Amino acid sequence: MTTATHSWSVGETRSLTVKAARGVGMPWGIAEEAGFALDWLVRHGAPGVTAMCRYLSFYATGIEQGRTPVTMPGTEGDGWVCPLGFGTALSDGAINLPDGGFRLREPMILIPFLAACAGSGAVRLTIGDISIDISSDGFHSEMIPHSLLIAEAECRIASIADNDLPATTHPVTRVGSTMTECIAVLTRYAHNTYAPATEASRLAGAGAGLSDND
Amino acid sequence: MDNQQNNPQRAQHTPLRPASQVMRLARMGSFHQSRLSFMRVLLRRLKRENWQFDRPIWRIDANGVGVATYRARGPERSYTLVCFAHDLPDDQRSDRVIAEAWDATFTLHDGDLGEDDIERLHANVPYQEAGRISGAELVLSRANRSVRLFDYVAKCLAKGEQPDLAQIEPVGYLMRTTAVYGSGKFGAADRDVWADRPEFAGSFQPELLSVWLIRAFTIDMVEHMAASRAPDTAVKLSPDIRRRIGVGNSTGLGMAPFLVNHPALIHAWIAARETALARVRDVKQATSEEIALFVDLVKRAALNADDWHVDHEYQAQKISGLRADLTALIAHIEQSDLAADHAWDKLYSWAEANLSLEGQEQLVSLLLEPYPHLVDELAATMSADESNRFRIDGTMKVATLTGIIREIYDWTEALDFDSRDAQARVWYVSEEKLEPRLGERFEEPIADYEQPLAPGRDAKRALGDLQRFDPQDSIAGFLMAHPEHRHITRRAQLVQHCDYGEIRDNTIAADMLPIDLLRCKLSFFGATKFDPRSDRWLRITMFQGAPFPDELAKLDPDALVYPPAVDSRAL
Repeated sequence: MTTATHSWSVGETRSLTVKAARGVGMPWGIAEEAGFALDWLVRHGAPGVTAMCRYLSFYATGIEQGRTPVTMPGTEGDGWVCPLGFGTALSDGAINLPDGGFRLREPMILIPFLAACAGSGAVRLTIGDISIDISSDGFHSEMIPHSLLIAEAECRIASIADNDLPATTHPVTRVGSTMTECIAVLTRYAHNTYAPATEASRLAGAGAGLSDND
Repeated sequence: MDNQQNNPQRAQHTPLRPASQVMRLARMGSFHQSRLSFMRVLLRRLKRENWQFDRPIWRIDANGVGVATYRARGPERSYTLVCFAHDLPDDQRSDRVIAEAWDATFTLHDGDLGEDDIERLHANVPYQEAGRISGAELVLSRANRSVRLFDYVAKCLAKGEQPDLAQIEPVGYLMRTTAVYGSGKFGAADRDVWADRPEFAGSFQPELLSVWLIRAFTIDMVEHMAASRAPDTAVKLSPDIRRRIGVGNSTGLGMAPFLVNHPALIHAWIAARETALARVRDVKQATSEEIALFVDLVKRAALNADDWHVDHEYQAQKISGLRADLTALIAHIEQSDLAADHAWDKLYSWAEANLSLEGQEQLVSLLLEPYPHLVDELAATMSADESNRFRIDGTMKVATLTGIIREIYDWTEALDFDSRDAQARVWYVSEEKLEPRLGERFEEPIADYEQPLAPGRDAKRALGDLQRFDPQDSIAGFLMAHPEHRHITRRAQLVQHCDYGEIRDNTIAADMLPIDLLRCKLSFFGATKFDPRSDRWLRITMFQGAPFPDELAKLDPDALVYPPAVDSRAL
């Protein structure tokens, strides 16, 4: 019963993302970070729903193919560096900002984690030949946000002086109807967290068998 | 949390009851509504700020089908409840959350609304979860009739008679809601859109404003149906009888995980109530007015307990204990000098030694009643902004996290999570219902779908792996090696600052009763007449006794929560 003007709240999209990330096989704690990243990106005007939809699709396919996501650049072998695993390790302080270049899947997803560990400073994430300056307040790039949707690229991170970091992008508070397809993908992955009904569960239920007409 | 400067009467310093005492499921499942319950907080504010109410639209036909709107106008903003009334065949009336049709469906719109909004909402609200509301709506809800009581009241009114209170009291409502969704669900505005509005300070205020206006709609509907049947003879409900009609609510397991999923918020709720209790226990000497009010309310609480009838054995036993407790309490206060120094503190200590948990927690609620100046301001502290991520402190040492877990989860030491009983249950979401459910781990293939709702078990597992790390290692390294412990690590780091944020009981034990979780939450809402229909769902009554929008200005909502004393009820 959706209409042309329907939209989603950021909160429900975030909850859906947590379930979808869990649904493709992430531990709950990392799935929660996926929800955080989605929320941060959307609210800062980046196409976070699309980025997350693309990355979770890639993740699901990779797992199906027997490939393994890793946290540390340089250890991927046949797998790939997960921006969520890498981002949380950076934000936890488990690892330092890497000195050299590294290949990263869907690097936009790293931005919220770099913002979280930027403290009072700022960092520059370079994706190929695109630069994104990031502080705890937001991010800035010369490119329009949608051109930051990059499947995989050579990336670098460097600390920068923050004194001329431009103001953050316009806050966004809704997920619009153009995201319908992505929401459908996330919903499909979220579905993996739902247990198929069994006869026992139907019987046990949440109180089946009593009349609701009184 | 405690603020001595605001509490000049505070002469001694009663410590807050410890989480190890309060956050046990058996006690949480014995909580009663209080001055700090959100329904009461809402009505106090609406009255204080002189909110105005009207019904701009009433387009309900003789069959009870159509649309109506109820508007609440405050100092800065207006809200409009949009009600769609439907003709629902009896065989489709289901309280289960998966129902697809209801007697009435509702949304709370942010501000006034036009015909285009009504058209948009009409195309969505009646479908509930299958429709979409917008950022201009705050709440989505639906309700079904209590067929028995609705028809009885409609028939009485049609004949020009008032219904018998003896028929009304055991049910307590004409309609019961089966879901009240807010905070961004199904397209509604995110909480942060309205969280800073003073009228919504505290918790669940938009949802409860909706429910209170729904109550007015249920009365208008029954009077409308009576007038449609017999326009020449029909009368309206008399105010005293009308006030004994609340709104029902049917609540199942969907609500149970809430207490586990929102530790910061639950801490804020419980800490406010515990602080209020400590402040009252600190009162050196009660005034005669305070004592008189307390004694009156104890007697009215006893009436309330007498009117509370349930079929469920667990709750029936508890109510029976509560009645005995209140009898004992009345006898005790008759022999006590409540004007003596620290009489409330002594009374509370007596209750701990002599009453069941039901009686103890009923007393806690009653003790808060005479003290609006000590209690009511705490309502503003009963919320938490949980939208920001709680960033894990990866620099914390393994030894420190180990210490935190050992302290918060010390109650798990006696539990063997390899035993079947300790992990008999699994919280999961069923594909069929898309709602949280509770299954049997060893009887159903559901363990792979387990939701993270067993903090005790998870903490103990993390502890096992932490022991293999050097105590001086950082948690960041531990979590890189064990991402499966990330959820419980975040939780432990959060809960170490929120004493009451964690339930000190095993939420997947074979003998765990989900209705205890439901009761705790619903008592904070302000619900009464908990009526468990099994160990995992129940019905409640909301706003029974409260003023209606057209009488809020002249009545004190806090004075009407407990049923009136016997004499004035003999109508």
